[in-house]
Amino acid sequence: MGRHIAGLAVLASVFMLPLSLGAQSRYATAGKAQTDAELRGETFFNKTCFLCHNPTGQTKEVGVAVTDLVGLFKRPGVTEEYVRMRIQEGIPRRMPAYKYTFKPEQLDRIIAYLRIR
Amino acid sequence: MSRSRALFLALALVALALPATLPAISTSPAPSKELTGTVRDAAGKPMEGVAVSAEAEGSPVRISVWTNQDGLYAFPAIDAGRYEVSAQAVGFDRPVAQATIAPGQAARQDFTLKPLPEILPQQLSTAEWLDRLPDETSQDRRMKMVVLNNCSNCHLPANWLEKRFDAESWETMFDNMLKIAPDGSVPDDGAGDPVGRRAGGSPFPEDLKDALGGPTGIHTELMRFYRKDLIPYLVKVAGPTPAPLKPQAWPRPKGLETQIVVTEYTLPTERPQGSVGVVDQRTGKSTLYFLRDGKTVSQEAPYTPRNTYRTGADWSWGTRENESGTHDMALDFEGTPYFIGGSVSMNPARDRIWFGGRQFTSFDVRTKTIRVHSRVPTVMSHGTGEDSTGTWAWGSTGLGAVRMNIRTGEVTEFKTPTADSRPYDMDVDRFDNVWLSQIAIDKMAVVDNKTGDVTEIAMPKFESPDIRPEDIEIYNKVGSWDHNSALGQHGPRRLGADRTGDYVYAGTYWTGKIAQFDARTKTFVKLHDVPNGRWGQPYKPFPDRSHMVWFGMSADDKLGKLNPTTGQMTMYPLPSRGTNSRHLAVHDTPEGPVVWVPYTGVGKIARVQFRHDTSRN
Repeated sequence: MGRHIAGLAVLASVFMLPLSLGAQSRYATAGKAQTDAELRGETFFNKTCFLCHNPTGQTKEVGVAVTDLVGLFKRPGVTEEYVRMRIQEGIPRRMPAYKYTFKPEQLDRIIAYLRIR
Repeated sequence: MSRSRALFLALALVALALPATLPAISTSPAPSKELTGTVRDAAGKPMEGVAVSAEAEGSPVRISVWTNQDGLYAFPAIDAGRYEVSAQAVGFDRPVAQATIAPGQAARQDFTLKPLPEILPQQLSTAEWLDRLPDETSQDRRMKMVVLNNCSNCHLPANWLEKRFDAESWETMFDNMLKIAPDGSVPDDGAGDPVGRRAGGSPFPEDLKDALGGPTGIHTELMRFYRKDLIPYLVKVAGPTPAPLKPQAWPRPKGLETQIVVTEYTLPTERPQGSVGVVDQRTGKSTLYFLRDGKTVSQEAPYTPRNTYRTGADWSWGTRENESGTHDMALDFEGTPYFIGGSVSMNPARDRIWFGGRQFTSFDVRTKTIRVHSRVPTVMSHGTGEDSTGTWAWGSTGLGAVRMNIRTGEVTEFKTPTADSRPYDMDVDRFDNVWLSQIAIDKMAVVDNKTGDVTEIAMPKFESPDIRPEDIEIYNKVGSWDHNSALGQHGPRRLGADRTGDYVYAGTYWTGKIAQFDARTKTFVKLHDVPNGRWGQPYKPFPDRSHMVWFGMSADDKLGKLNPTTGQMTMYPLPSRGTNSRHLAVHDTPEGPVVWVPYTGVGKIARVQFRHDTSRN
């Protein structure tokens, strides 16, 4: 039942219950995009990554380790090379591969944004 | 001084400074001489139907007009200041210029649009994109229906059509979606889905489980059924080698469609929980009202510039989601716009706004007070309303309708004859009867205000040569619902009653039409085709004082108008992409209607004004 509530909370926040609004923290980031590359990267992130990489309960229902990626590059051992590879190749049965989606310059901008997120 | 107090004062100063430092916005759409120009193509030929937009630096307001048959555009009166002015049309580049408007002086800004080497798909609305996908075979046409009926409600297809994945990645996403698909443990918890039951009320087998072991539901079963055909189609149209789009572009707006002024207001991103927002049309400044310790308090919402690539202003940046817009909106008796986020309605006097949920809640626009009324036994869905006497408030629920005596708070439930029919929206007609759209079964239910009797009105069956016997079989076996729909569904979703006329209207979400019903006889009248509307997903219809029916197109960045007498439709453009504009509200003035359109997909609301008589055709 709990997972139903979590999933429906997302639906409700979008479609139904005005009193359930206020989940603006979903849009919180560790840093604010300021440069053109960061702003473009944030846009790609929002259109592409945010659906899973957000802190809502619905994401937890998926049952895989998904984080909102805030402070990603501050984590020990996280390198740009690794992040690029992960975005392009995905993770079998967990995360789709974006190697057909992003052009190199688009990937550069996502990296620029993730560095300040 | 504490840090929070200093921050508050700083924000207050910003808010106070806003109207003094930024241009104010005219309330008249009439053309002026302050900013005009001509748009031509590379060969020097005037272009009709090009969107020209102006935005002052640091302003939450963006004004757009369209060129006429001579390529001419003229903004309404705008205050002095520096503006960024841009022109754009599908298939062309987007030149941007800086214009300085000085009092009493005419500024001219001409544009030349250069054609792009090929159609940039990101410039297309979802409806345009779907229309241009391959449809040479029956299977392709069938899968476009599957996409529309099963993907589009959560994901504007233009958003994911921008991406490309191989079959393995699409399978992964399906696995994840099946874990979060609403299997429907509601109606107590959310959108009215029945626990383990089909539309109509019969149960699924008890041993039929969803991906996480819970009782299965309609959404899950439809996703499972179409997965085997849908994934190859997704790989075909959005795979490693994407399908080529049909090159023919939809026509740009022309004639009366171009004779409008659209003023877009950026909404604040930070909104206290449950807040009711109001926008000052002159300045674009927002004020938020919300409950604190049981009392309504207000807060100015300083404008925070948004990421320019996420505003929908530049069409080449494609369709986006989750940009802190608003799903519904309301207008008071003066035409002042309110945004709340969830589903809302206005009373006939336009001095009270209703929103639902677990309890009736109202906002008094005169006293600026939020009032929480009675709790209801079944959570409300998307519709609320008030009768002509101000005695009853109504709401649609997963089971039918709920009525509250506004004075006493007494609540009464009315169930639809067909169980689990997904009553979605509701409205009150001029006889004070209450109409419910039953999206899962293509019917409308009517609650007789005097007797309490509930009757159902069927719509004609939707038929297509591309629907196969197995589609009919899964429809009969599983049913249909709101986020996932079987093929063969019209999907009457949001509805609107003409309070001074005899008709009730509903947008058919899956087939792109406006359904008309007779409130006097409680009968179906006809389906009106929306031009290029097959993939546009008409949403909320809203009749004006002249009985013209305005409606949102959630997948097509357009605003429609139906003349129900002649059947003529006029489709007006919106200047942003990815609006996912569903709801709308109309303010009747002596000069004609002013239509407000909230954007769900982009963080704005739009005021649409007309430079022609909309009551004539």
